[in-house]
Amino acid sequence: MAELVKTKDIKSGMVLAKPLLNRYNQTLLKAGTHIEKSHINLLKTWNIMAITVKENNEDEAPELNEEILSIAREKLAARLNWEPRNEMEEDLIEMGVMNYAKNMLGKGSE
Amino acid sequence: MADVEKLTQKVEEFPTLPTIYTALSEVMANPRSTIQDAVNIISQDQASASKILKAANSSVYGIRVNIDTITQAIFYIGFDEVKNLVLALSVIDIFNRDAKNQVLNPVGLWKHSIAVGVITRTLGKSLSIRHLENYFIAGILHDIGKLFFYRFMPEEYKKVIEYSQENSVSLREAEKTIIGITDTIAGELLAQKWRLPRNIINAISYHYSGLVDGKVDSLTSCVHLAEIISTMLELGDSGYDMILQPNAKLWDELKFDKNVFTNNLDQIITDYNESISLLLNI
Repeated sequence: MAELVKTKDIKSGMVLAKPLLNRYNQTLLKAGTHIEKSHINLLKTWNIMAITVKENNEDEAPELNEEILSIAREKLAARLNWEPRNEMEEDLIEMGVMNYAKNMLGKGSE
Repeated sequence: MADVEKLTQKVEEFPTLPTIYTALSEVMANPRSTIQDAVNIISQDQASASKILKAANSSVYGIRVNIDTITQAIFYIGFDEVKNLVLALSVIDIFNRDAKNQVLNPVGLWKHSIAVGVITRTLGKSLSIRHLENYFIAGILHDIGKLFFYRFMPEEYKKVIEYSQENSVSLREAEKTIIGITDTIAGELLAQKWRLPRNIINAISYHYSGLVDGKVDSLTSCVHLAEIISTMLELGDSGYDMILQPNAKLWDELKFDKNVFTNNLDQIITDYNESISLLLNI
């Protein structure tokens, strides 16, 4: 998950979680950029008050392993009575599986 | 058993939308109006004004500049979005008065509705729809018919929900069986009373099939999909637990990117949490 950090609180080493866009939707910095103090001027120029950075433990986060995914798949299957007909429906189902899996890891929503 | 006449009567007696919304609608329909006219109207309602500012600054609109005034809010997120936020807040307020004393608590259904709003908007964005203003609000209001039933026929509607669960049928089928009328009819009547735009009325009437006049309509179809997704992700409580299969026609007409659903999962959850906090004070 990502968190919003105010420009004044930025520390070197933080990693941009999403691409930074200006008000014209042009990309100023790509996602994954390692933020340095020098970027702060850029932010100030564009009057950007906060950026989205990856939380500290994000890179070391446990992978959604097969066991968890398989439990999640079963859980979802219990509420589904149809088979996917195409790639889109497969992706849709995968979304549900990932949601269950993430919740089980404590990273999810409510 | 409800009948259309009784229902129409009850809808007639239901409150009208607050003046702030009708005043804003008039301002926007008048080509001579200025942003200042809209700002003046909104500023008179402190509660709405502060919510609009909060919304403009939330992650939902992705604006990275600090928005301090209503003028800025209108500038950055647009007139229509602001008007629709006022509409959403107004409708939620109307239904939530006295919520604790109601037999069927509408909060779960509101959370579901807001989730559908968030997801409809996300899907519209991913389709690069130009005019997104109605996507959020159409999703939020798609179930107002059910909310109406919760309010005016809670005992009967409880039976509808039970019937649906015990017999594994959709709520729509259960409604037809138990009360003889579907929530979309109630929703349509209410939307017409409030003179909501046609595309919102369509979303209310047709989100179940996702087709308007047998054809794929971007907005209605997105609401249809969003409904399925929000049930799947268990965001809020629609009274129905099974995950329905999307209408097959959608896939031919709506050109989604591969992996659009998995790619947007995190953003949807974030926006959902922000939106329920903003709109429901949770």
